[in-house]
Amino acid sequence: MTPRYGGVVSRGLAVVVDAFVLGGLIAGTTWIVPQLAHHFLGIPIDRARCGSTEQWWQLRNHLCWALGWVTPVVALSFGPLYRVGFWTLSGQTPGMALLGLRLLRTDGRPIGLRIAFQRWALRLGSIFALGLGFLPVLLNPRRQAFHDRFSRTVVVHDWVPRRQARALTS
Amino acid sequence: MFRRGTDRTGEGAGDPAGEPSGLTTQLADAVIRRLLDSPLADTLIERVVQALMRSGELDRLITKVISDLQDSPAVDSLVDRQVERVVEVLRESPALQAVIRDQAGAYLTYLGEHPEPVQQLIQEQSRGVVDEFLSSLRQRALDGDDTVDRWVRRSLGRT
Repeated sequence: MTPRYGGVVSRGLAVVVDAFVLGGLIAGTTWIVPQLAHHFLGIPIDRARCGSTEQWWQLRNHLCWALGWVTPVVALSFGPLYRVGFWTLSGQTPGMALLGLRLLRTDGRPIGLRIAFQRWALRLGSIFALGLGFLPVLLNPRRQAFHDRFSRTVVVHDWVPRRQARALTS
Repeated sequence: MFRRGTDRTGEGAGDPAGEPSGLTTQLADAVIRRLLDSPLADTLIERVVQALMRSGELDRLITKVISDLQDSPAVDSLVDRQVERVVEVLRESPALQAVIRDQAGAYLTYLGEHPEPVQQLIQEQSRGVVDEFLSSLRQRALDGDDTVDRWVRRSLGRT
């Protein structure tokens, strides 16, 4: 049976859903971490009220300043962790799962950590090239983007249409 | 199966005595009574009934009567009136209301103690709704993919 490759609309919707999930995770974390630090360690949420860091043993003050870096660090690390993690574990991010998409190798096998990371890095290239790396999805018969082609992966629809499911179960 | 010794001559017995017709009626009654009381009548009646049961006539007759009754507006009206009357009586019956209250209470208590079937039902319903939504969303996305593909192919002059 010929696989049904994920096209622009399906993949675009999955990206939008993932962006919402990631945004929620980042926003939640950047809000929760200072609150927890304030609650359990007494570190002020407002960085202007952090104490002096001239003495090395004033750990609380050091932590207070370090928390200022939480937001960018979380924002930068959540993206790759989220995508590479989900691709490796199940071949689909939550957005892809919602749209019934799955990432596989071109030979149909599931992808591993190495290919997931490779694809994520190449995907960054596609994004930084003003999104031109995604253009081949429209032209390629297997709907492969630049990063799919070079990491030897495909995105397929991995769900059974209702009519087909009824036929299978009856 | 049949009651014997029933007086079927009530009216005839009231005729003035001494009249020839009254005597005849009394005689006929006596003969019929004797006949009905005899074992021969039982045997005869049983045979007739068995013969009727064996023949298709009885079936056909019963079927026809039932079908006539089913289609009969008079029977419909009669049944409707009776049902309405019974429902009215039941609706105002304090005993029935008490039974319903008791049963509803018992049922609610049972559901409170064993909520699993209701929870399962609600879960299945929710799952059904979610599955329906997901199927619809995926199908639309798939259709969208194909539409965009066709549009691109047309724009590029590919077949």
